[in-house]
Amino acid sequence: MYKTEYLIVTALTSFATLFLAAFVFFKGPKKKLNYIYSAWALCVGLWSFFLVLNILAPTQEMAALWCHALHIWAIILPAVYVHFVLLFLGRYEKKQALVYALYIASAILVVIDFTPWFLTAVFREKFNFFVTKPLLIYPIHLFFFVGSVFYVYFELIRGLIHAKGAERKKNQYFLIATVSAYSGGLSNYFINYDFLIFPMYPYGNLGVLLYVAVIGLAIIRYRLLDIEVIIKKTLVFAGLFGVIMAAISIITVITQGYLGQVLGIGPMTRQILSVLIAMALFDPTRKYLTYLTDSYLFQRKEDFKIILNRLAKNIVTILDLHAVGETVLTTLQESLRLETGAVLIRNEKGGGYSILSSFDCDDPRKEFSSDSEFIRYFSDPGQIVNSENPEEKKNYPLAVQSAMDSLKTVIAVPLFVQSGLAGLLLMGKKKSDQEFTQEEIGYLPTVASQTAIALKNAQLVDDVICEREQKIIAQNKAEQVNYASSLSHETGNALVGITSTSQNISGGLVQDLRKLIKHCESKLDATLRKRYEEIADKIERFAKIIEQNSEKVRVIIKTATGGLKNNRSEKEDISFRFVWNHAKKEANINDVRYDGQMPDPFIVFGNTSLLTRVLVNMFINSRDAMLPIAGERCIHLDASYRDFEGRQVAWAEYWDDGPGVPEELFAKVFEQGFTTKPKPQGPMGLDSGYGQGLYYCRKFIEDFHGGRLWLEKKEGCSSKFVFWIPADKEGNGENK
Amino acid sequence: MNEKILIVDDEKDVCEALKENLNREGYEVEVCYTGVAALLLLNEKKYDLVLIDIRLEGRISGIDLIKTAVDLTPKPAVVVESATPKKQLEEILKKEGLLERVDKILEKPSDLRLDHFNRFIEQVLSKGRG
Repeated sequence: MYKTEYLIVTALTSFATLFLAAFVFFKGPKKKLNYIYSAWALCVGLWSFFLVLNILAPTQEMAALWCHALHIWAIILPAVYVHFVLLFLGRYEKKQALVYALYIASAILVVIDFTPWFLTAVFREKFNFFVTKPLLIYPIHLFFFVGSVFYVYFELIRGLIHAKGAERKKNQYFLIATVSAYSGGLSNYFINYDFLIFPMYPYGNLGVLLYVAVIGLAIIRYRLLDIEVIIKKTLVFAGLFGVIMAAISIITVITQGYLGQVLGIGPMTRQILSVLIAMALFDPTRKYLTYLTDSYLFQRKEDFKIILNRLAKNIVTILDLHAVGETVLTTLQESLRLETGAVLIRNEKGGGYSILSSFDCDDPRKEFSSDSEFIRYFSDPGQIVNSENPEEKKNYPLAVQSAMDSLKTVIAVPLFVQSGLAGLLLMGKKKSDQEFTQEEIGYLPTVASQTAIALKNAQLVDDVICEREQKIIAQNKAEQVNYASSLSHETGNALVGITSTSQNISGGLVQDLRKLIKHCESKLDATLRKRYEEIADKIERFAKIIEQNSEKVRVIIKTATGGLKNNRSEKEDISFRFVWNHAKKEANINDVRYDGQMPDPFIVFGNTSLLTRVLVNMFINSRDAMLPIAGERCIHLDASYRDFEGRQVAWAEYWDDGPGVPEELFAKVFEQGFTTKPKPQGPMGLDSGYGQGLYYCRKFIEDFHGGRLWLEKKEGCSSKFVFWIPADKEGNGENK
Repeated sequence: MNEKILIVDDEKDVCEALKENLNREGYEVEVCYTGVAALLLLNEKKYDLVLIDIRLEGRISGIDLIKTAVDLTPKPAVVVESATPKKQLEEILKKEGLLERVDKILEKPSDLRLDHFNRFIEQVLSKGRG
C-alpha cells in the first residue's frame, strides 16, 4: 500500500539532498557551516538512497543489506545535525565535547549495526516490501536518534528565548522547520515497528526533503538569515524538483519493468541500470532547475545591485543630514547583511570627525581628530580599506586597523567632496561570516561618491535652516521685548488715568463734598446730613478700591513685562503670586497639585525671571522626588510678610509630599555639581541632573536678591526649603 | 501769585487728572495735548514748571519740546514723564544732551501717584524758588 508513493518521495529526497550536499560544499568548501551542512545532507541523501534500494529489493537478503547500509547514515545523522545546529546557534565552542561524544557514540553504533542483534529485514504485506525489523539492540539507536532530536529542540528553544528581533524570528523558523522535518523522518521508524500512519507514510519524507532544501538554500543564497522568506521560495524549488524527479522515477520504474519483461534481466542488474539512468538524467535536471530557480530564487543577487544603484541615484534628493546617514546604512545593512555599520562625518564647526549614524557600534559617540593617523590616512585621495584581505593589511598603518576594530568594522570607504574628506563609510563584517565579493566592493565607490554629495547638500541645508531658525528666534525675542515695552507703556498711561482720577475723587472731590456738607450743616436736617455723609464715605471707599486694584494691576504688568523681556539684571516691585503661577506654567508638570498660600497682593522687590527660575527648579526637583509616590502629590508654599532683622521681608517655606532631603545633605545639595539624580542622557539645561539647579537657586536668592535660602527640618516631612527676599526697595537697602 | 504749570501729554485723561490735582494744590495749570500747541503756549506765556511726556507724537516731538523748554529764558523747571522705564528715558535724554538740563524724570504710573507726584512737583518748584 502506497509503496510507489513512498518510493517516489524517498527517491526524490535522496536525489535532492545529495545534489544539495554537493552544491553547498562546492559553493563554499572553506566555510565550516557549509562543510557540516554538506555532511548532514550527505547523510540524509545516502540514508534515503539506500532506503530506495531497500524498497526495491526483491529478496530478503538484499533488503537486509540495504537496511544495514541505510542505518549507517541514520546513525551518523543525529550527531552531524547536532553539530550543525550548535554551529548555527554559535554554541559549538561551548559544546564541542558533546559533539565529539556523539560522534564516538555514532561510530560504536555503526559497528553494532553489523552485529546480528541489531536488525534484519522482513516482508510485510501492509507495506508490500521488505522493511527493517528491529532486534534486541536496535532501541539504543532509536533512543540515540530521538534523544538527539530532543536535544536539538532544546537548543533551538533556548536560542529562541535568548534571541531578539530578527535573530529570534530566524530561530523560530529554524525550529518550525526542524520539527516538521523530524516528524517526517521519524515516520520511517513507525514502519519498522509495523505502524502505518497516513499521511506520515508514505509522504513523511517530504518534510525531510523540504527541510534540507530550505536550510541548504538559506546557507548558499541568504547566509541563513531569512529563513521565513526562503521557506516560501523553496516551495517553488521543491515543487519543480518534485515534478521532474517524479518523472525520472516513473521512467526508471517503467524501465525496470520493461527490461525485466523484455530482456529477462535479473533484479540486481535492473536496479543498477535504473540507478544509472537516474544518474544520467541528474545533470540535465540540475541544469534545468538552475535555469528555472535562477529566475525565481536567486533574485537576491540582482536585488543587491538594483538596491545600491537606486540608493546611489535617490540619496542626493534627501536633504536631512541624519536621514542620509540612516538611509545609506539601512540599505547596506539589508542588502549586504552587515553586523555593524557607521557613517563618520566631518564636523563643520568643531573640526574632527564624529559618528552621524550607526548600528550595533560599541561606541556611537566616538570622535576622531582631523590630525589622527586614521583620518589622515584617508585624506589623500584614498582607496577602500578592506581589513578582511590579509594582503591589504600590510599596506595601512596599525592605527587604521585599531580605529576600525574599535568600531567593529572591516571596510572603510572614504567620502570625498571638493573640499576634501567629508567622512567615512564604515561597514562591519557580514553576519554570514562570508567575505565581501569583488563585485560588492566594486559598487561601493559609486555609493560613496553619491553619499558624499548627499551629505554635503544636507549639511548646507542644515546650515541654512539653522541660521534661519536662529534669526527667527532672535526676531521673536525682539518682538517679545517690543511687545513688552508697548504693553508697559500703554497700560502705564491708562493706569495713571485710573489712579490719578481715583485719587482726585478720594483726596479731592470727597473732601470738597464733606466741606460742602459741613457748610450747609444748618440747612440740612440730621437724617439728610447723615445720608450725604454716608454717600461721601462710600465714594471715598470705592475710589480707594479702584486705586488699590490699579496698583495691583501695575505690579502685575511690571512683573509680566519683566518676565517677557527676560531681564535678569533689574529688580522692581513684582507680584510673587504672578511669579508662582508663571513658574507653574514654565515647569509644565501635570500630575502635581500646587498649594500656594500667600497674602494678596504679595508684592516683593525682585526679578521676575530669576525668581521664576528658582521656583521652576524647585518644582522639577519635587516632581522627581515624588515620582515613586502613589496617589495625590502636592507642592506646598506658605509665604507671608515678616519682620526680620529689623526690616520687612517676603518669607516663604516650600516643601513637597516626597521623602525630603536627608539632614546630612542639607548643606551639600547647594554645592555646584552635587546631584542625587541619575546622570542625564543629553544636554537638557540647568535642571536636569547636572547638579546645577540648587546651586543657582541659592545664587539668585542670596547674591542677587540679598535674601537667604536654606533647608531645615519640618514636622511631618523630613525637610523644607526656607527663603526670604526683601519685600520692598527700602528693605533691599537700595534707597537708603 | 500762584505758580504756573504747563502739562503736555497726549493722554487727555492723564492731563485732566493731573490738572485737577494740581489745581487743588493751588497751582495754576494749563494743559495741551500736542507738541505744536505746547510750543505756541511756551512762546506766548511764561511757566514756572513744564511737565512734558517724552513720547509725544506729532510734528513736534517730546524731545523737540524739551529742547525748546530748556532753552527758554528764564528757564522753567522741566519735568519729563513717560511710561517708558526710567533707565531707558535717561539714556534717551543723555543721547540728546538733555539729561543734565531737565529737573526731574518721572516714570508712569508709579511716580504719578498723586501723593508722590505732588511731592516731586513741590520739590522741583522749591528748588527754583530757592
